[in-house]
Amino acid sequence: MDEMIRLTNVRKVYRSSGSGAMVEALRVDRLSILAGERAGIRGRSGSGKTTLLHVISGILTPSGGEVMVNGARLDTLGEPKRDLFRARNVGCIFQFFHLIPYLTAKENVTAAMLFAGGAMSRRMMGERADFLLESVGLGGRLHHMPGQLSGGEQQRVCVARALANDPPILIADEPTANLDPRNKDIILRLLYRANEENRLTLLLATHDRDALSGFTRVIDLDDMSAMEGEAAC
Amino acid sequence: MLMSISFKYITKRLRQYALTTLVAALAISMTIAVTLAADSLKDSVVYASMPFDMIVGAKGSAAQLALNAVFLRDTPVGNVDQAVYERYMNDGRARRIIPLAFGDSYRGSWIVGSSEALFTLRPSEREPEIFQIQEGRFFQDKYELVVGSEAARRLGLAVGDTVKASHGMSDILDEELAASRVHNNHIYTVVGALKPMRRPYDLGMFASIETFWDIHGGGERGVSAFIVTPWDYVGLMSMYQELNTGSEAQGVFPGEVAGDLFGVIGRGEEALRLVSYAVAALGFATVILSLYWSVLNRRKENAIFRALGAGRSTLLRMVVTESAMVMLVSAPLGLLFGHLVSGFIGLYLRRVMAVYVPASFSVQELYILAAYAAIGAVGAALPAASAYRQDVAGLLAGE
Ligand SMILES: Nc1ncnc2c1ncn2[C@@H]1O[C@H](COP(=O)(O)OP(=O)(O)O)[C@@H](O)[C@H]1O
Ligand SMILES: [Mg+2]
Repeated sequence: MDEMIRLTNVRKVYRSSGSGAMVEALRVDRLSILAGERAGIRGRSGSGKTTLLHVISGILTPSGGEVMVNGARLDTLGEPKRDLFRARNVGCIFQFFHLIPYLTAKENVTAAMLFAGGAMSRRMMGERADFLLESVGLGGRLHHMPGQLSGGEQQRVCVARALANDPPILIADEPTANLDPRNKDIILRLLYRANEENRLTLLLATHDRDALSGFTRVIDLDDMSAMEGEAAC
Repeated sequence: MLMSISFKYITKRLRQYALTTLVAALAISMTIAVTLAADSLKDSVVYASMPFDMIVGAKGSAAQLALNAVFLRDTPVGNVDQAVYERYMNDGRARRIIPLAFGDSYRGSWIVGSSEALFTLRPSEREPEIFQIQEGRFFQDKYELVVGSEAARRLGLAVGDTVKASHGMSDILDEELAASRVHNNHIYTVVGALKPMRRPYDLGMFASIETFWDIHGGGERGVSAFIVTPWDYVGLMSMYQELNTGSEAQGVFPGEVAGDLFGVIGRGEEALRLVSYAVAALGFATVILSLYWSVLNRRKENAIFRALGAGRSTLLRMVVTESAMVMLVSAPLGLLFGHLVSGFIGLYLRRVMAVYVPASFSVQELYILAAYAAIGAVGAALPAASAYRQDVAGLLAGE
């Protein structure tokens, strides 16, 4: 199988604003994730899960090391190219949904399509947004504002938005942390389905062990050796 | 499509944007109104001065003399040296000499004593006389009065009416006070009403200078000032030189003293200009701050757009689009307000001074709009710079 993500000797350090000392937020010696894999990222709070996902999506650049995602060396790419890369290759889902409050569900989905720079017509974008929202069970909520939707519904809009540009990679950072068990289940099922049907590479970070029960591969940031061991397979 | 996001953002915060737009429009209109008013004031002074090539009067304030002769304003100057007047009357160096006598008024309107030559006064030899009879005739005998169109309108005078003049020029409309200064024995009869000239003389009333000599009596045949129309420019300059190097009288080009003519108004205009600049600066600052604030306000939304793959240039485009939308609405609105306000100022000047203020478009308006666009661009660049420093990961971490 093709390798979708490969990290080599990646480190992210921050200078502490108080003492000025260097703090290591992330250290990954080797990590390889194959196309279509469903990988969970586990670790206590502050273990670097979010930092890792941001490095993979190009929101953050590593302090050192190589980041190869879908054939692109993100650590050497300039910011504008990383932005475009992210728009086209990575769909992101967050704990706090992060929908644009003044746009409807449908507009939130089409907005994501604008940044990928594709040649889609306005009508095609609209139709794709309708299709995606219907597929997450929100066919009847197309024109609702985020504030008019429940938490579970908002996160479903986010799943549709993340799939807007048909990216090869789906990144979810604590997507179920703010949801009740029923909605948690719904969201996980939607993510599994995207992973199975579209052969999307799914990366899900959570500190919740239960949420990772459906994952074939779990990367534990608390336990570096485990991670290295997994990467070998 | 990006524009539609900006548009939705604006409609969502319509009240804030309406306010910003209004403030911007106000800033534009203030600057434009003051500029237009100042310009048209100067234009109208020059226009009003045109028929008066040179005014000759007693030594003293040139501005006062010009204000007297052209605008029928200010305190009348003392009489000009009679010998000078007679010399110019007789030596043929001027095409026309028109005597002027000031000192009497009727309910705020100046009564000007002059000769029949007054009715030949014209802006240039190619143009018709500015005095045109609407009704009745010009004065011939003593105590016959010809009234300007504005004076007639305001005082409700018509041919056949009689008028008791008062001595002094105060704009007193108080009947009792005015009555105390009335030359009781001297009653004028209105024999003619003038067509509107669109000049300050519309506010005046005109009688023969013999009437003045009769009233003020004592055999004194004084003249307050006289208008000189030259044969040519060289002649005019030589007369001007001669008068102003001599000690008997002064010659004044009213068009030239137009600058200090409105000494007070000029200073007022300067102050108004400063105020308008201050208001404009405040307005512009408000616009910039409002745009800046609106970006600060949605740092989070911008971070989300970044996470979705929007580049900084895309965010910049969205901000610029917004300020462009604000400008697109406020610029024409400001132009409209500005012209309305300057129109009202013009109307006011016309009513009070009978100076004709032509409605105009000034090139300076383009400068003002250009400056405004530049400031709008800065207003857009500031928040863009703030978006540039944005910590996307940090903002995404929060709720
Ligand atoms: N901007 C930053 N400045 C300083 N330290 C940071 C910054 N962002 C993250 N960190 C630190 O990096 C570590 C990893 O953070 P994060 O990746 O958010 O962990 P997780 O998502 O697993 O909770 C934490 O100790 C956090 O305090
Ligand atoms: Mg985290």
